[in-house]
Amino acid sequence: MVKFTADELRRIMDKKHNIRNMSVIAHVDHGKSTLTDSLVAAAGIIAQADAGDVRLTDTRADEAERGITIKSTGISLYYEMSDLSLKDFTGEKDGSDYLINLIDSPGHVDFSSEVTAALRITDGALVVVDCVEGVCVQTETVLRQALGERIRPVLTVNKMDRCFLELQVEGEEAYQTFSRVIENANVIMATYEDKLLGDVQVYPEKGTVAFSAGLHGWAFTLTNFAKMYASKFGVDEKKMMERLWGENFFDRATKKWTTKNTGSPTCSRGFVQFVYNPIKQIINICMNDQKDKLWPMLAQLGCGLKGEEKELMGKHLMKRVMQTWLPASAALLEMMIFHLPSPATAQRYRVENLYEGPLDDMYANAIRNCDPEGPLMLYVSKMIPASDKGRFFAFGRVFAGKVSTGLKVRIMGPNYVPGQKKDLYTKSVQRTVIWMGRRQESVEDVPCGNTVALVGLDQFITKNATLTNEKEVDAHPIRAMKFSVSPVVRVAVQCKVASDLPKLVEGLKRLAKSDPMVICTIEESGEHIIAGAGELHLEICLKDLQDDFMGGAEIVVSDPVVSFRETVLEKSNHTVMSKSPNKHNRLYFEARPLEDGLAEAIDDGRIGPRDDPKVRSKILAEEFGWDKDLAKKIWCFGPDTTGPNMVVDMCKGVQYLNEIKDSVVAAFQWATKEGVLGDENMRGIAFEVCDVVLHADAIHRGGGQIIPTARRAMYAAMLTAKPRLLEPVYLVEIQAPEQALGGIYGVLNQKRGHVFEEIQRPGTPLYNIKAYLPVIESFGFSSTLRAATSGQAFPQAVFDHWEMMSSDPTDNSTQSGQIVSDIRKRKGLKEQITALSEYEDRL
Amino acid sequence: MPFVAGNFSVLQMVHKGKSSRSCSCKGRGKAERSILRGGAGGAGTGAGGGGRKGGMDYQKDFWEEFDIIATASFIVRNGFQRVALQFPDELLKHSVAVAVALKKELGKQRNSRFSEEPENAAVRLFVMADTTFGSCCADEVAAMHADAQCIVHYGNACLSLTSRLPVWFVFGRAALDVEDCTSQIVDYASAVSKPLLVMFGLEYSHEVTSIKQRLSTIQERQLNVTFADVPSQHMKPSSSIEKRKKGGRRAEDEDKSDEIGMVDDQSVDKKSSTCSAVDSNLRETSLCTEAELLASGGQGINSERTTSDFEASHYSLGGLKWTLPKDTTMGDYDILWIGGDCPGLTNAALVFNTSPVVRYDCFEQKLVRDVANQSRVLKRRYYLVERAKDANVVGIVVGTLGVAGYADAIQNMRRIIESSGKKAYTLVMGKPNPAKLANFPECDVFVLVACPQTALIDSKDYLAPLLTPFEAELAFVEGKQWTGAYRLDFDHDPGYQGTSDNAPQPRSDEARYSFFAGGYVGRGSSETKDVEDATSRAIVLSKSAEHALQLQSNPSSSLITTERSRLDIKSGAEYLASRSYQGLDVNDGGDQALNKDLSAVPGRKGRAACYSDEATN
Repeated sequence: MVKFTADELRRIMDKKHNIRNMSVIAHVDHGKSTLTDSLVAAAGIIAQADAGDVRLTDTRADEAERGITIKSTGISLYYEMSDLSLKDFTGEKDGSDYLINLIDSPGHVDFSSEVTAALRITDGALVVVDCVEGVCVQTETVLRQALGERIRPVLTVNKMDRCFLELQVEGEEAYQTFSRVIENANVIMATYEDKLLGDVQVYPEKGTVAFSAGLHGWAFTLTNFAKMYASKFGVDEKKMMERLWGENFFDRATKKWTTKNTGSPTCSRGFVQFVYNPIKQIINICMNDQKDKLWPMLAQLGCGLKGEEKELMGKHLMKRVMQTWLPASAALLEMMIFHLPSPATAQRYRVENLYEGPLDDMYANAIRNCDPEGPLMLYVSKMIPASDKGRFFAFGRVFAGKVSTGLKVRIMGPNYVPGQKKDLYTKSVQRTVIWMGRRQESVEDVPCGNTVALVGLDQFITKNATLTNEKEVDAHPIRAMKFSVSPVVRVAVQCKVASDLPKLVEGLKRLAKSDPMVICTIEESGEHIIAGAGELHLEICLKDLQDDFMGGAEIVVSDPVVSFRETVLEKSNHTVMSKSPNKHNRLYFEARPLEDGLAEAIDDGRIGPRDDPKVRSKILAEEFGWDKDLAKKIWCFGPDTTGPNMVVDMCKGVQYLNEIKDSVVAAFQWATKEGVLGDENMRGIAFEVCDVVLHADAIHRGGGQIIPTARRAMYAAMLTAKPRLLEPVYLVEIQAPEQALGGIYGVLNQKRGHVFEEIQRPGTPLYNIKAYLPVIESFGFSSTLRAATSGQAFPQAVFDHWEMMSSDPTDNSTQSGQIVSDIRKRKGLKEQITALSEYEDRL
Repeated sequence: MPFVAGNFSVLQMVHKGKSSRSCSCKGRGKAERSILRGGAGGAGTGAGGGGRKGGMDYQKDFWEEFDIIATASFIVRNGFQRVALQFPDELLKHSVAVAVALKKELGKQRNSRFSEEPENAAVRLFVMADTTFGSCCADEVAAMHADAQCIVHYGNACLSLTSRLPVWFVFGRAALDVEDCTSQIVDYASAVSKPLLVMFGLEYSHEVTSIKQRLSTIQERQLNVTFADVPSQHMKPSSSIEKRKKGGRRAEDEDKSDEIGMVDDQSVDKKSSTCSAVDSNLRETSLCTEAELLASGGQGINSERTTSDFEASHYSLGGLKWTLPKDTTMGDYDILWIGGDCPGLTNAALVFNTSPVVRYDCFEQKLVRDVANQSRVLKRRYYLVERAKDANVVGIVVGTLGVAGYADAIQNMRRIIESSGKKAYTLVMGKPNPAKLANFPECDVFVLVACPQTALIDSKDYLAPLLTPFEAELAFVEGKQWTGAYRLDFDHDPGYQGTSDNAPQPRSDEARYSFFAGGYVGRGSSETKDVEDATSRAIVLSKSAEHALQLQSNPSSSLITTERSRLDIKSGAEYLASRSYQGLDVNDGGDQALNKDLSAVPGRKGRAACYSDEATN
């Protein structure tokens, strides 16, 4: 039942004003995929009758099974607007046919990385909110993310059918609920005032809010009704719209509009009277099979059913009637076309967010103007496994120029630095493909403003990349995506049969590609580690790994492993000294904790090795109370030259100090990577070089003498500064009714969590609880919680911060001591922490 | 001990004829039964009842322990004039006594044999100590300083094939309770369902025959126990074997005098190292066979079946060799090791990582299970291989100058590394330790070409990990994959040699996935890919170094230099350029210095003691 062909689609791709790239975002289970289906139905790919049942975008078996979306899926839709509905459209347009590139995204917090990837390549977002549950945790998270990317949102209040059928809410109450939902969303949006983006809040009376019932495939905006009544009452459509929302009341008896409820029984709110009640009436009639009443009403509304459809009964009849009267696709697509920006509009202001290079070069201009004749700028946001195993489509968005089959492109990976050769490849595109749900259609080329899937580049792109023409050597890449979650839960995998190892390696490689967030690494001990955002995420990854990427070869998965960080509590109680192997050099070190917030500032990149030293010392002096001169004496950050630890030179007038700097820095990188407690990374430690005594002969103070010694001295300094472990902590948000609170508190206490916020959601019996929960305790947390609250509590956990464990890790009887010895055992180290005397020497 | 890289520290004590210190063994601890076990020997001698020995007993033990008579007869039989005695550190204290005893015995035997040739001067003995590399290998270079014709090697040995000199090994005789050991073997063999292979530390080899006999007498029911053969004490250098083999093919009746004598040609025919044909025409049949078998696999699995033995597969490891019946592999066997926890055992456990290993401890007289932690060690090695894949600069550490084929192995390594687009530096520094290797921070990884018993270093304390050549090959040869099979010798892979000699495999341009970067990394630099000959490669390299130096000539903030990640540094020159300190006075004179003629000129030649341009007065 395909209504349009790839050629038709391709033709419209050139009309940059008639394209809408949008993602559907929402909290889990608010009905994104179902709603998306009803849109797809309108574009004719699936039969209208199936809308609401198929979940076309959930292409994976496990997605269908679990009923949640795991991967974001893109679909290109074609929609032709009627001239009538276009007459009020003021923006630029090019004909009345529109192309909508839609990306359905997952709602579960573990898969937020998919949302991030989807947002990057879209310009607008359809925010779906359950009319009963309202704005939830994840709604807020994704909304913030969208606004951060300068994505313009429109809202749809979904699951309207619940109001009518399940809850049987009266008009005024329903209105209150809806307006609260919209208000809550607007509160979040209001915090993102942006001059270029303009007002991003949504208003029903302006048509930026829709009301939908995804399951039944119908939806409306106030525009629909305003149009209907405008002709009936002979009022201006705009004016009618305004009256249909807010404090506007109509008295049927007096036929007067007021802005206050007059109290008369015939006076009710415009929305209730003209929108809510008619729908309710029709639904009731249908459900009761009062067909004799129904047909005249339908005739009045101007929508007739076809022959056999009239035979339908009850719910099916209602569904069909509503779909005919208020088709979801029309309402939603028109809302998007009217209120979401075209690529041409959006790229004008998004270029600042997107492009890393100077904003006045030809690439920035091409992006800004969405110029199909300009140089190619394409961002690959994710890799999608292709049907032939092992290969991937590179899925992304063309921001400027055109990408075509056979084009030689320059692939700039995430680590590419302009002017260098690192992470840079040149390769031909084998095929360009547009994505239409389960079908892919090959096309000759794809111009800017569209999403596209590319074949033949998967061997060079891990997760994302910027593509440009082969010759554009001075192009800067498009800025990397920033994820709202981080991979903190790790498991070690190994294969059951040792000879399957090559398969495992290949599988991990593919897994790393298929998911924007997952990280596959290898540990010192030779174990392969998979790190994901949460338990569910890992579960899905492991399933994919075993079934899809390893051809079913069996793997053994360890218990989840949490990585810790090592830090110090105080300044070293004395200056430690270590002698070089030849005893001719002595290094004096001290360790101290970094000031509060400094480690985070380094993490966020506010302070880093690339900063101008002057700026850095200013921030350090003003915010963290450093001495200005001292701030200039930072030798290095680490580990990996950017981590949240540093070496500071505190020496005064020492000879040859500059010669050993490189050696000390090398030792520091090494030591901060493998801390003294359990070979975990260090965090928040400043090592101070207090004094050095060096041999006069250069050969006796070379790297060989200094590097191992400096490492020992740093370890010794750390051991004398009360070493502590830092554990990762989740921020857990739980939503539950009051009676479940007791259970929640019980579980949290048992898991070392603590609640720091508990708010009742206005107008609902639901409570929002925010708590901190150590990641190490979080395994099985959701199931325990569900058991303790008989399934009423729904937790969402996101990594929040590192928290110091107060107990002494060098003492085996304490909790952190136990953790350290477990870590050491796992890594095959000696079970006891190496004694201070091993590192510190005496004069 | 001096740690100067590249320096041989050879302690030579030349005993000329009569020594007045023949009584140097007086006052030695009575209880020390196993002298060759050195300091450790004293610990567990209780069982042997050391107290019963008197002075004469001790003297006898000493002669047996150091195998004086057999050694002397070996020397006399072959007519060696200059003999080097190599002692490990822990046995050095006995060196004088051994030399004296040997001298005495030599005199006796020579008189009986060559009485008609009085003009033949006495054999000269040289004592060598503090070997440059591992004390398990015969130190040929040191012996050649003394112009020795053969080496007598005392103590633990790896039995790696030498390239030039014949070696006579004295393993020593450690105490072993045959009774108890046998019964433990029986117990273990009947407890496990799989057949058992018994291996042993070389110091116990003298008792193995009796254990075997004992086992056959008390065996009530059929136990499937295989013993590794006792290795021969005589090893011929690879050059002589090769020569004889070549000759053997031409004319079967080649004279055996050719066996001894130094042959300059040290290139090793790879065939000879894997062939186990028995040259039955030779007079010293058994010895030659032994030597050849040693040659056939100083290390590693050698299951090649030659025409003469279709029935069985031969294995050898660390000097031990054994034969398994047809249709069985090592995976079917459990391994029981008699002796202490030593590198030989670790190697066996690694190479045969599919077989469970237990160890019979001769002091404690009990079985120790799960000795080597095979899987953990293997996984760790696997990690190192993965890490090496990300390396750009590789240091080849020469860990032996004696083991046959080392020069080829180094050459091969260089070729492998260079064809993978990485930069290789060869370093000679004696025994590696963390301080020495940290002098080369530009190397991301080191490959240690050494005898198998010293090759395996857990590089936790090293700035950069050390790999064995086998691991390096896994890491650097494209398409090679870690399958779990493991080997420690470097003299093994004729397959790769064949292909690499002709044309290096075409490098696919697919990016390689790195588990450290968490993404794709390029294979080598794109420059070297297009470069065919060494000259233009050198030009490219110098250009890139120049480029790096230019970046540096603009001294900026101190932290910027550290920002350059290791991934970018492709050679030692670039590393130097990225350092904040580059030696004295580089920037003195500012721009003028940069404009000066900086082209390379030949430096001085010769040894530091006296360079060739320093006139010898």
